[in-house]
Amino acid sequence: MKRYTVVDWAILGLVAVVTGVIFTFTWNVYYIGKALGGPVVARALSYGLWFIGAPLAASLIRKPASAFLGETLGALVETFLPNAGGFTNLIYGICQGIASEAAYAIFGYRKWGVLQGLLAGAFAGPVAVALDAILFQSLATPPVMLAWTAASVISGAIYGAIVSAIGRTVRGGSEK
Amino acid sequence: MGCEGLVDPAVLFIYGLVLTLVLFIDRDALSLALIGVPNAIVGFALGWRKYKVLIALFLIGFAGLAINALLLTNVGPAVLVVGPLIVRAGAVNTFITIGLRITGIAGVAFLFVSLVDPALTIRSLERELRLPKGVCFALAYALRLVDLMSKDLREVQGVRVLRGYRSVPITPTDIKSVLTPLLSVGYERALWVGIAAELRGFRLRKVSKEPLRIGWKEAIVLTLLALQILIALAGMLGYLWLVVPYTFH
Repeated sequence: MKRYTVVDWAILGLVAVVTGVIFTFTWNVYYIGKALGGPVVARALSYGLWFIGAPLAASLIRKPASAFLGETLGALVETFLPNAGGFTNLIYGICQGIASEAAYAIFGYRKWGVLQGLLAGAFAGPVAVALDAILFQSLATPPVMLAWTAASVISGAIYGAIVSAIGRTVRGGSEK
Repeated sequence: MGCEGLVDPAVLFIYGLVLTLVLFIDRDALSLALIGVPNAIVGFALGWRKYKVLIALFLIGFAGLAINALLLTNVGPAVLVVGPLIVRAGAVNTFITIGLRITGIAGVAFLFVSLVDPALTIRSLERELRLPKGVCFALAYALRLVDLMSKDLREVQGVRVLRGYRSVPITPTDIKSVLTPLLSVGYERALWVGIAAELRGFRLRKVSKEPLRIGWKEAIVLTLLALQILIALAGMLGYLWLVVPYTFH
């Protein structure tokens, strides 16, 4: 396994602050959506932005576990910043990070491109829906769950692809 | 507010994380009320001065929760009739259970952020809870960057306005055009910070490990945590309904 250098940790710090601030900003989107249409609409609108930590970190660092660490550290920073989600952010971050990490693991940690970023965002979707089903258990009827899962996967895939492309531009070089 | 002289941040971190997990899985309305309401009162009271807008936004969100409960779980016997609207037991139950859960989680969150200093918490996590030093370095660097990145963001927004674009990113394209320069600057900075830290012997730095500091304040916090776990267990196993028969059911 490739060893993490201090530069990698510093880049993870950068990803954590950017995603932590975006995650915190996303709470505003969530609140507006929640006030207008309740938790279901709120989550569907804000999902994708909450999954960007993993593909961003992976496309910048390109080492095993970077996706997991990117999502988890972003969530930890978000926990330290004032918002109503508190420690649920960390629980979601860890679980979503594991799911996103799978997108890079299935390619044997050899590819770090836009496709992998897209998959990393998409993989986090069902996990977030599953956690929501626990958190908002009574609201999650099967048709709602299905729509919710589809929305989160699409939203995650779009933002995952976008941040992977950004990561590639910033870091430069090929997908490998 | 700093945390020197207050409760050990690591203990508050454990309290917040464990209690949130408990609230996350607890499905019993009475135990959720017994745990969530006191934490919410304390958390909102402590955070009110600094985070009143956030707390107000959180409370406004209850309107949405009511809408969802009415739309998705309005089943069972009628409880309330307001004109054409019939509110049924299912919607009331859902509103109460989820409302109590998210109130408790938010209360714990505001309690935590009001009482701890993030930098001291990270130090505590490293020394007392043995979090790897690389992770703590990344976290400390991230928190150090918040102000710097905010300044960078304002400059990017200023340039966007000068070019005739909207300053607040809304579409995915907006987000891309804001994030790319922000990350480019940050990436270059992180690269040099990493090199500088490496040259100063970061890898060789020994972390002085300390046992969890348990004074009387920490003992009270941990006792309260244990008590709330017991309440949640009793609630989930159905025992609380025997003790307090007049409930939401």
